[in-house]
Amino acid sequence: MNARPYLVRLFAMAIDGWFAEKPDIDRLVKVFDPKETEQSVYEVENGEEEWLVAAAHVLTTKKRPDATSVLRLREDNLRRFGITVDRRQLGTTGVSWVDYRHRNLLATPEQLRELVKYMVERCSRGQDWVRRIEKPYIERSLRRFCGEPHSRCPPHVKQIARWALKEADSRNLDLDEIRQEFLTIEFPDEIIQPRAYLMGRGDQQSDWYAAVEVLRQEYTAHYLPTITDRFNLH
Amino acid sequence: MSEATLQARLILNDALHRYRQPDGYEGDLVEAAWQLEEIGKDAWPALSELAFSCLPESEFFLGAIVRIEGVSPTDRRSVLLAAAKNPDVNVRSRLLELVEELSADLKCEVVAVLAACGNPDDAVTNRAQDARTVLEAQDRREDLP
Repeated sequence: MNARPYLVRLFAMAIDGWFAEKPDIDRLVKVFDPKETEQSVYEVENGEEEWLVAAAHVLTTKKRPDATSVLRLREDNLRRFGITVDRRQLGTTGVSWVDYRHRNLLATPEQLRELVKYMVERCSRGQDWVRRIEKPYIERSLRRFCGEPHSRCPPHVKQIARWALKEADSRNLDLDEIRQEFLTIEFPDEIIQPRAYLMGRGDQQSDWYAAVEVLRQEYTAHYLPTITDRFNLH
Repeated sequence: MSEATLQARLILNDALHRYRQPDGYEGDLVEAAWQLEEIGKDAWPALSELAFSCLPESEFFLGAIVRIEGVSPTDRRSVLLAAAKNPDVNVRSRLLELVEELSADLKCEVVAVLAACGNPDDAVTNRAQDARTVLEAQDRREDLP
């Protein structure tokens, strides 16, 4: 894969069926949820980021890590079937750079089916549009998050990761502490830059800090209700 | 039959029903598998029946079959060997992934069934045959004085 960003759909099903001589499209299309109009995906640049977003996604599930499959999607492939990408909804992993890479595919069940048929046809000829990430690599990536500075991966997210890795007995989350942690959260420059530009106050440094503050408020407002609901925090 | 066992069967049947609808989604089976794993050994009868049925959907429940605690080794062995004979490529592929979590003896047995000559001639059988070769080489090394 080249360095151009692409999208990944994470799913549980093993990938052997994608390379079958007579692929079962009815089955493979179930990696998407056709009852939903939005299909959750992440934007990544390479295989390393595939591991990381797959691991971060575990943090949204209340489950232990397990092998995960990845369907790689390029926007030109999506456009071919009239599928559009909505960039407005953030993810809910608690890892800021991953959550700002969250996207939704807007597609009908028929469009998804045509997309899967197209991707399967290419896989059956040897193209690498699907990948399996085994459990140990998901675990290794979760440990990487645990080793990040608190400003990039807040302590409560590390606590959830350690629970998932069976390295902590409980998650012991406190809403007030989570709120405090989000006051110092950092974002990659690629996220801050366009916001700072839009501030347009003429002073690059103050625009930058103002953008960071807006992002923190936006991210907190999005994340706190989700984590509260997910873990029944009050 | 315990209430938890009944509940496990209900969860499983409901998830299978939803998954098999034209608008079914794998997430229904993933969620059911997680719930059965949380129920624990009371979910074993439902999991065991699923594995013996040789249905392709058992792919999603193999993790629970391998990991649920309190199941007798004999019961787990018979269920896993049945799963290893499942004609579905994804089921066998998933099982081959999970052999790393099995005891050494059971791992060898499961890999041997996955690698058997009568199995479909596909990538999983090939990978299992490679794995069997590696395990046999390890055995030979351990037997050396």
